[in-house]
Amino acid sequence: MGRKKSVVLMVLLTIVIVALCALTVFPAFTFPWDPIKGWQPAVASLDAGTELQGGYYTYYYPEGIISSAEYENDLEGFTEGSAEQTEYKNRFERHKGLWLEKDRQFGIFEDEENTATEVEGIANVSESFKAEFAAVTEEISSRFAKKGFSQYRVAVVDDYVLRIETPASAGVEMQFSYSNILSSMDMFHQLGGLSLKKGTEEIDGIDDEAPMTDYISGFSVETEYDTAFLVVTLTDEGETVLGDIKDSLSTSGTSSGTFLNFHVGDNTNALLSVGKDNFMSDMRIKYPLLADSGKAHVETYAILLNSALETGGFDFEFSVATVYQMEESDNMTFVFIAIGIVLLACLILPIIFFGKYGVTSAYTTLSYLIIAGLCFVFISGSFFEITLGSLLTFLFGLVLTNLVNAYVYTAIKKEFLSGKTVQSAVKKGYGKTLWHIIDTYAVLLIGALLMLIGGGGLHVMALQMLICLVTAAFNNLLWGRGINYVFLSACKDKYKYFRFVREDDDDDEE
Amino acid sequence: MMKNNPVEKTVGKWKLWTAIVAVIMVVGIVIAAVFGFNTHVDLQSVKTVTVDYSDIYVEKVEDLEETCENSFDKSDVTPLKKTVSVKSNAEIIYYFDVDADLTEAVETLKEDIATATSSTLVKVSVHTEEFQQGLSEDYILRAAIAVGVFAVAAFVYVALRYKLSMGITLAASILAAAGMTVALVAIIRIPVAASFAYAVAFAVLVTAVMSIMTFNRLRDNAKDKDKQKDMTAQEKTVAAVPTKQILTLAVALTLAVGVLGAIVAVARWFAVTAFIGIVASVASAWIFAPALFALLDSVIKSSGKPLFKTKKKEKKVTEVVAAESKEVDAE
Repeated sequence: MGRKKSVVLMVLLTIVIVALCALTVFPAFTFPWDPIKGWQPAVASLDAGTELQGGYYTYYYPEGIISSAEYENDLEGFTEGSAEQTEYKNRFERHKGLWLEKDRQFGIFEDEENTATEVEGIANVSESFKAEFAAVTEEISSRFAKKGFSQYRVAVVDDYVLRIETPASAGVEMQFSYSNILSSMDMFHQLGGLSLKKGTEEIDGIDDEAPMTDYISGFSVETEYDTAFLVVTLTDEGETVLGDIKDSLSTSGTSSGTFLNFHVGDNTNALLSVGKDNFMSDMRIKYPLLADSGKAHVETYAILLNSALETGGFDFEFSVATVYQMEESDNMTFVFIAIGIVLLACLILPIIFFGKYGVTSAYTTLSYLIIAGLCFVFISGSFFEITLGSLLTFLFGLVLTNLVNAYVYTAIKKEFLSGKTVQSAVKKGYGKTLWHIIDTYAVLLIGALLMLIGGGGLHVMALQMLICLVTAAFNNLLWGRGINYVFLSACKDKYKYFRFVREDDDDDEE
Repeated sequence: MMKNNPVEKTVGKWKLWTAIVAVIMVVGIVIAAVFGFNTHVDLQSVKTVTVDYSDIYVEKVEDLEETCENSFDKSDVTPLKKTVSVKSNAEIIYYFDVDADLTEAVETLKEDIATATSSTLVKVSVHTEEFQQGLSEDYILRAAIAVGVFAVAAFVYVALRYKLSMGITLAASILAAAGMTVALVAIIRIPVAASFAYAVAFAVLVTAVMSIMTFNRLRDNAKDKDKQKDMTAQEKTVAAVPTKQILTLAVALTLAVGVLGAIVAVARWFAVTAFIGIVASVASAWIFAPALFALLDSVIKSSGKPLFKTKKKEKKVTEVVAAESKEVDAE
């Protein structure tokens, strides 16, 4: 390539890389003349995982149990010392940081007949309530486990309240992320059994005493043309019973009509309203929740319905507190600072050690940052949050990119010192290292693919590792070589480019 | 070959290194079985102090946090972690050890908050949180399966591309690195969270990279048949281990992980775990793997040819043999 062409290409390359870097990572700011408008880099849209203190949490309060904050707020609503305030106080019994309604209708305390076991002035929580709470805790934990979050936490607060923590992104397109969190947090507290109705009427042929597993095998999720469907598989008996009513159902999507309604517990709103067109020829029901539902959103429904089907429901009710969003505080800022320091080192050190070849290495570092950063935002970021594994993966790919560049430099230098010209040494050096680099990345890519077997956060890390490794391999095997070729072509003194000194040059100086 | 190559002292002692790896893993298993792992606060039962605040205080949350943290300093209690939520009617949760006695600290906190704010807007309560679940039940099993399957896949790839003995060595070093990372974390009692699996996966991949570096050199050196023919398997291995490259990779990764841990407070223990993974990788790929390979290579007596001969290689071998016999005839 001619020198002039190379220089033009170098300049264009530099402009494009600088522009893309700015798009990816330039710090956010607001315009002084319009504080509402401003600039946000692409990476600002990345969500932090719960390890970095991003994410959401909520509380599940059993009926008749409130927090001490709510109790104190309610108390302050009454006139101090009034009869109403006294009556309110008498309704509740304190248990650690909670207040429990004494009224036996809530089933929290022992029946009146058993008050002999009470400690003076303090009612005992009934054993049946404790046992039921333990059972529903296990069931709810299992529901969240099945969601496949990268991290989550289920904890029992003061023996009788659940606190659930989940990450910010949870496997759906960004616009559904918050609704997916809401849907799992909002739905998983439902503990009733599964029931079917035709409109509002009971279905002839379905025995109220028989378990629903006699009619329904299970619920699963299928995707077709980017839409996720909830699929209901019926038993033979279910096919017979529902086959009889199928034709009398309305077509799905009509505003009024008769549908096959799936209910969980006493909720009068149906979870699914199935029309006759949702029945497949094999008598499976294929039901789209929303026209463009994400798969994770539909999985939430499947998990809840399977749980209601298998357990038959619990005689227990939770109410869901507000969903709290955890403030990421400065953690993501510090993360960007840490990565920035490592990046700076990867930009400067190659230039110090390798001269102008180091500039090529710096360009591949920036290219890695741009490609991996944008892929994290627009591919994995749509589905997953940034975890500690993501950071490790990114740093690993970054270090690998630079060390492979150093390895190539060493190989070129070795060829040069054996007596070859610079051009010949470059060609030979790249040739000798090519398969070494390919084999290294091949094994790493196999490793990353197989890490997909891992669940939760390891699965997320594996996906992000694939992005980083493919980016690093692209940089080392193709892009970096191309940049080096352009820069070398533009360079007047190819010896100085690599900081090579010929022995006979030394002899000449002597 | 490097002068004073440290690998010279380690390559011939495969029994010693295998025993050391096995002992570390057994001790780790025993400690984990008897005492369990030291769990991170995210996987622990804790005591929490919850500070509920009105939405008026959304703008003044930082002041409230400072009041709370100064109060805790005064009471000589240190939170393990803090969670701040950003919605209205929100709360700050401070996490403490489950056995901590917070009675006096909470009373002091209430007084300090009442002094600094309007007490009707801010409520303080103490709770115990009993951890139920934070990892799905099969998380650890699937992670272990992933490592195992990777060891097999890596063995197959390297055995085909390089030599059978190298494939076996890589698989063994991958498993050794994973096992040693887990064992060392259990022995040193580093707090373990779900992120522990990331560090193990990282150690396994770094081990693979370091081992492949050695295999590449072995393969390149094998082409110089004149030099190699009089060398023992041990000498070939010592000549091939790229000590400088392996240690450079280890140091570079340590520095990167160290910067992350130094700057991001919540990543500190994770950085330590990742560092343990790097140490295990170096031990596995630089010390254990070369010793094992030297043994396997001499036992299997592979001649440096790939596992399967291709027609192209056969043709090349035939041409070389023909050329050699022509030279002999000419002589």
